[in-house]
Amino acid sequence: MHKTAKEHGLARCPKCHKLQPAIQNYMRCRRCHGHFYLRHPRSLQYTLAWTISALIMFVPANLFPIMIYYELGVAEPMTILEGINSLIEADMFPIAFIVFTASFFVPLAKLCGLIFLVLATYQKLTFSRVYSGKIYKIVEFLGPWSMLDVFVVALSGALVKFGIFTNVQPAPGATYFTLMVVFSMFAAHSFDPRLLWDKKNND
Amino acid sequence: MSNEHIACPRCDALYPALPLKEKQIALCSRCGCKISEAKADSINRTIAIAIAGLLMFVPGISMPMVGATLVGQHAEVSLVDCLVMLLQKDFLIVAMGLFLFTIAIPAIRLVTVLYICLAIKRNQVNQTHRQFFRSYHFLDSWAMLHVFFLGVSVALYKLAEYADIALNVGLAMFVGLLLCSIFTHITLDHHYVWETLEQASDA
Repeated sequence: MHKTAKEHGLARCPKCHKLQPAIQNYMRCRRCHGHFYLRHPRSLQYTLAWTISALIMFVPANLFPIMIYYELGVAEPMTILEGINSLIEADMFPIAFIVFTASFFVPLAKLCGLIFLVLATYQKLTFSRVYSGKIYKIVEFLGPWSMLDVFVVALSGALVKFGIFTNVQPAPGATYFTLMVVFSMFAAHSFDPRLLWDKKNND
Repeated sequence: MSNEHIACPRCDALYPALPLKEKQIALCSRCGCKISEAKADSINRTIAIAIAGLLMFVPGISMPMVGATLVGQHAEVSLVDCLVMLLQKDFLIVAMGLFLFTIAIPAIRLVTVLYICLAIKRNQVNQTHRQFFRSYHFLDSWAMLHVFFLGVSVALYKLAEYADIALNVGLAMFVGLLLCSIFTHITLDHHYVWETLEQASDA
């Protein structure tokens, strides 16, 4: 029932949304003059590569402390999970929930979602395309929120400088965490959701 | 041909382009994605909000947002202070992320919309505006003011346990900037802008 623009020999510019005749797979948009692909030929490979890079970064991001908390000269390094644990011990459940969601659950869910989308496209899974499209939308939306913990560390580090009494300093985990977020956003941008629908027509 | 049809950004389904009345939204009947929306008084509203946002930009990032008092010592911190702290501690990647996502990209986006909308309003559109507006789309998902604001809230909640917290003018400015940044996204009618840019340079 639904014909795609591609089947009509039309290509849609991803930036300015202009439909134009698809002369070749890699072309220059008539309206905004940007270069774009009708379908990126290696969209899945790029997505998978960025996702794996992000997964690799996820390990040091959680193993290394994200900040070091000094109290009366005693250093207490904290990883993300230890930080969440200390929030739970201090009975700050809502904030513990937000931090856990933004910095642990969301990145993992995002990467799992991307791997699922790549597999669903590659294996031509007969899974609902509408559902997969929604997963993609959620993955794209969640992208920036994982930076939360890095911003918290940056702000605490700049604010809490009370000499010998209390001091907060950022630690290497923050760097890996930033890289993880950036890589997973690149992964989400590399994925072309239209590939999900293209396959259906070939079946 | 190409101006008579529109394609869904997510699943590439092709539809005839019907003229939308003000405040009407075109949805894809296959995957449910929003295709285009006719927004009310888009250009004027966007100009007003972008100017407001730019006015609050400098105080929003450079004035102290929050302050903390502990054992008689008082400290205040702004967004720029966080950046300086990260640079001093050699967290270059994190500093670059913070600078790009919360300072550079929001600034570029506000300046871009203002520049484009003013050009459209004064009927002085030329080729360079297309390049500018394309960059706006490219930076769409990389502005993270909202995440930073949540980060400030979480950090304050954590600190409130052992220090006296004060909110400063900078925070109000920052929230204003954040709201303006969101509202320009809501009021700006991308479809209309591209049509205008195209017609202006074809004529």
